[in-house]
Amino acid sequence: MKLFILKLLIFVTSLWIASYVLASTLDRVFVKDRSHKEMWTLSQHNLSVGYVVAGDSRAFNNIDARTLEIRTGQPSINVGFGGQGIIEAYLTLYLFLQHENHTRTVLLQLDGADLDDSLKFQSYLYMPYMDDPEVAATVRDVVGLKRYAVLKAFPLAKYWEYNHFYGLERLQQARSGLSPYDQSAGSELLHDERYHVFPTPSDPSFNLDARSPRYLDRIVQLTRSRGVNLIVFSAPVYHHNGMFKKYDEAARAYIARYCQERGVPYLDFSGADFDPSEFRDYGHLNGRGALRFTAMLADSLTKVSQSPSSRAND
Amino acid sequence: MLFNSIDFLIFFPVVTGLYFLLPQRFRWILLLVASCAFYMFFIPIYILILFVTITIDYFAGIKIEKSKGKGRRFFLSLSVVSLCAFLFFFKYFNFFNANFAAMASFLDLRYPIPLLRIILPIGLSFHTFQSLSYVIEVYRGRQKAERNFGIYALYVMFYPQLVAGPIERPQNLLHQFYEKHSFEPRRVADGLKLMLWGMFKKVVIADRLAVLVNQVYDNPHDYTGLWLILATVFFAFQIYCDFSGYSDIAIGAANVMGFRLMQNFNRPYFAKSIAEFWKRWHISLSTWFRDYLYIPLGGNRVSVPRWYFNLFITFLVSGLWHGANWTYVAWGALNGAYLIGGIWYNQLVGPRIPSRYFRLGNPAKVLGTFALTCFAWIFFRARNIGDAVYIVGNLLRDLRAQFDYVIWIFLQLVRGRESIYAPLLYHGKPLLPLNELLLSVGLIGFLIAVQLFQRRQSWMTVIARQPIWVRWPLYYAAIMVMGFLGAYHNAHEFIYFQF
Repeated sequence: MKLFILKLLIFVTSLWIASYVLASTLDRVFVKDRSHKEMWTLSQHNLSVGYVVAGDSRAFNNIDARTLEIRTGQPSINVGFGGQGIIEAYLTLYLFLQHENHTRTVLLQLDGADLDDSLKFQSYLYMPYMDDPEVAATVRDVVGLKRYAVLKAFPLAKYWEYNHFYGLERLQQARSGLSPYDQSAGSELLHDERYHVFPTPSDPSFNLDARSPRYLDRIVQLTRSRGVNLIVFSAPVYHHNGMFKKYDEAARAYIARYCQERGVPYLDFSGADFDPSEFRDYGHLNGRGALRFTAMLADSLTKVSQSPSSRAND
Repeated sequence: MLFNSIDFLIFFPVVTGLYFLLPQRFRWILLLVASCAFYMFFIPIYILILFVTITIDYFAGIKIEKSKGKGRRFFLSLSVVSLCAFLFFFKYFNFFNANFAAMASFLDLRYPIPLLRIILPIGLSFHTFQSLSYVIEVYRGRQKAERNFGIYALYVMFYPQLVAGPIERPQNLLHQFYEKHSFEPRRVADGLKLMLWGMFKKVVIADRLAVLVNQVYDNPHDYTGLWLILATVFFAFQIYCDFSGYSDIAIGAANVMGFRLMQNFNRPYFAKSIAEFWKRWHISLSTWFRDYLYIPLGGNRVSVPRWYFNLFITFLVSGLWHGANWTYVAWGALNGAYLIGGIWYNQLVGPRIPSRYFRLGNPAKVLGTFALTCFAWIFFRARNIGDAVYIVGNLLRDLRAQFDYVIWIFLQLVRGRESIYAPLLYHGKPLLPLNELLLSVGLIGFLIAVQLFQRRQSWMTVIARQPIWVRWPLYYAAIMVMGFLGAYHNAHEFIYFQF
């Protein structure tokens, strides 16, 4: 029995060492992946910009970084990506600043979906960065101690669990280093002018997730500790047939209150004058609408001073 | 607790380690406690159901042995009725209730009994049959009643086979709890290898095939022809890998501790007839139905019409055992019809056809049996009879155009004009990426190759004979393949858990 256990230990140890080496190699490959927006965002290094646009798809699809750059005269980059809730917004900004990127101002898009439990944490995106203590702590906070322990104990577990994302195709894309986002500085406007009815036309109640205030605080602390200005904004929405009207009102009331308490400027564009034909769906502007909104946002930025909250269409 | 979970990854080595560290007299207690913990991972309160049925059967077994004549039959009936009552209530009440309500509605009658919100206790069908097997064997005098309540409870609840079999007989399992099992490295290694193979079949093959199967069978009216056929064939291998994978893990886990469970699958898709298929598929269940339903009905020692009736009823009940849905009944009935058709052909038609005209070689018989089995699986997997009928009616629709499309896309791939990651399209909607399709087909091919190899010798014996510098890289490779190709994002609980 002792010999068997000894052999088993040697087997497991050698397997662990092999997996550690392989996982480290994969980490080095995947941090260079720039093929998809999420990975492109997380791979940015040594940039110096004036504005960073952050948030979910309402940042990613509604703000054109190149237009913002032209209107404000400041280099800009859009690091938003779809499905990103407040926890991911924090991690994205943290990694962006950790990777020797510098910015004067962060423009963070916030709405109800970022603060309740609508958006599932995309933990697989952060697996190549698990050696960073802050990333590891955040992942542990979300996935729970049991799964986190497995991810940390066995180096390849993070790529095995998410092998649907980290497959051969992504490996090939990562090694190619190509990206469609370099030209647009991270933005992707929705040029489809046809209106898409949102799949869940309802008006649920807004229930703030218990973790959201904590991660909002972390974003505020992170930006202040790095000497970065933080401006929160809420993009326009189209309450087609009244969908999400009360939900959005409650969410924005919370955001406004939060920003006021913490002295963070808040630009609320929910009442801005946008025609339904400028929307691609309830929460996303089409290309035409996004360009106009970007110009509107750029103009508003010049008016933002010490006032903690302002309605953008005043 | 699922076998393919982090919890089991911790549970199994801890329990096994303690098992070998403890003196023999305490081992059954450890296994009983571990089995209770294993069961309570699902819905803890349901352990009370197990406790009640175990208590009834324990005392029934002793009473049957002590009684004579009508007394024996009384206690047997008490046990059988109570076991079946639990099974009926949790598994079939809503099914029959809904059907009666539909009938009443059709006849314009009031039907007052509402449907109940019942969650099926995990493994109910399996441990019920295992308990029934015990009391029947005691009644028949082929098994002595177990006097130790804990040991009897362990017989019912033994965790490797608690939730999805194999359905053990008391003659095979009970005495093993009294045996001393020493740590034998070779046996432990074989058990671990079998568990690894079972896990491979489940997470790499079954869960990967499930992607297309679920996509098509959850919305069958969106598909025709080739996609229905492909999804059905994929399901045939999915259910085999899923269920035999579970059985392998169960048998391997038991083997590590020194327990021998019965073989549950014997390369069923190599059967040359439906009759042979049922000697190779879910062997523990098919032999259970043979011994406790088919033979007591008279088996084949009756008139021919009665023989056909016995076969048909046995498979009808077997279908119903799998689930409370008419699709399972249809599946069972179809298999019964296959068997009757096979007997009729062998006895009446076959001998009359000159051999020079109609002699199928073994490959043709195997393929023919596989085709019949797949056809039956349509009913097993379909959500309802309507879906099953649609699938059957549209298996051959648009086949030519779909074949042309698949051939075209593969030619494009070979010519470098199409990416291997591009999705196959059906009416403009993405179906499955090419690489996934190729991988799924490749894995089925690999499985068939392994099983062909096993006709001559056990792969475990072959591997065990290799030097360490061959064996260990093979194990590393198997684990790496499981890690990188396992469909964890698409992880399902084992199919037979729902039964």
